[in-house]
Amino acid sequence: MVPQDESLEIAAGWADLERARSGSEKAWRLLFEQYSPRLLRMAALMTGSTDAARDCVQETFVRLLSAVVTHQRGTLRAYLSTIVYRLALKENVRQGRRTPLQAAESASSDPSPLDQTLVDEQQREVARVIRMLPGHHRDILVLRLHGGHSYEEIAEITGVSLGTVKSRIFYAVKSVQRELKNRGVV
Amino acid sequence: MTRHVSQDTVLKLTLGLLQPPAEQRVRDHLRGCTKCLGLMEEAERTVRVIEEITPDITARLPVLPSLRPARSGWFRVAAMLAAGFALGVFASESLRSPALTVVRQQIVPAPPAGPADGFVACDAIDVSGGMLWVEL
Repeated sequence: MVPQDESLEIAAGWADLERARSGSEKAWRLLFEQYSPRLLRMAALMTGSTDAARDCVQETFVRLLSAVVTHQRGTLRAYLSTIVYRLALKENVRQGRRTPLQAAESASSDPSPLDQTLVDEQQREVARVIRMLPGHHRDILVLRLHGGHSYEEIAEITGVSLGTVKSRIFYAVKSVQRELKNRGVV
Repeated sequence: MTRHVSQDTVLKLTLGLLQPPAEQRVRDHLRGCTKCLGLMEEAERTVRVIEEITPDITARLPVLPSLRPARSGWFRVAAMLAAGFALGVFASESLRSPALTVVRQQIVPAPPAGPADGFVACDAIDVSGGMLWVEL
């Protein structure tokens, strides 16, 4: 059974979306302001670039306008995270396809890597360690600790089993903890 | 006193990965064991520093996409096809070699000129009977 707070969030989120899609500029702006900061942070950690993150979030809202939502089982927040997660995956695949020379050129010319947006050296160190994780571990860690999603939601978003999600979050945090201890951060 | 718990078990507890009976057992142990409590604090600190990463993204906020009536996928496909067709027509018109202008002009036969040198003018030619008669 879905807890009452959660069912309220589910109903409110989809109702806001319906208002926006029926033409309410105010509802649309509120949705954007409510969800975009968290989505942007998640996308930045998944892709390692704030420019790519901005594109992902922008595209997410463009898709939200025209998407045909056939079910409203989960929260709108989880639905948005699913779109961001898939776009970030696509972006990482695209980056991975570049030749080493293109990647090096891009890295040297990219004005907005994640590092530059972190003012604190400790945060930069932690972000670097997270970026070193394998993608399937990193994304689940980000969805849990930055997206605030339950393990069940993460299983839905990523399309893997609940057991796999739990296993991956454990090994992801364990790896980060070990690396941060080596670097004297924790 | 119960046995110490492993670092992995403490981390699982921190992440909410233990089943209720096991979770209760570990919590009971932690109440009386400062060593294991230290492991717990370390795991919690790790999770906290991960959660605390807050990129300053204010300078790179996405732009709010314009709100317009949602279009179906078919509408967009049709619009793209129409745009593509129009572009194709325009491109083919532009790339074609310069158009030929055909000027229709009525050709009026010139009036018969006078006989050339060495010939004489005649009014009619009679070829009846297989013989050529020239009437001068």
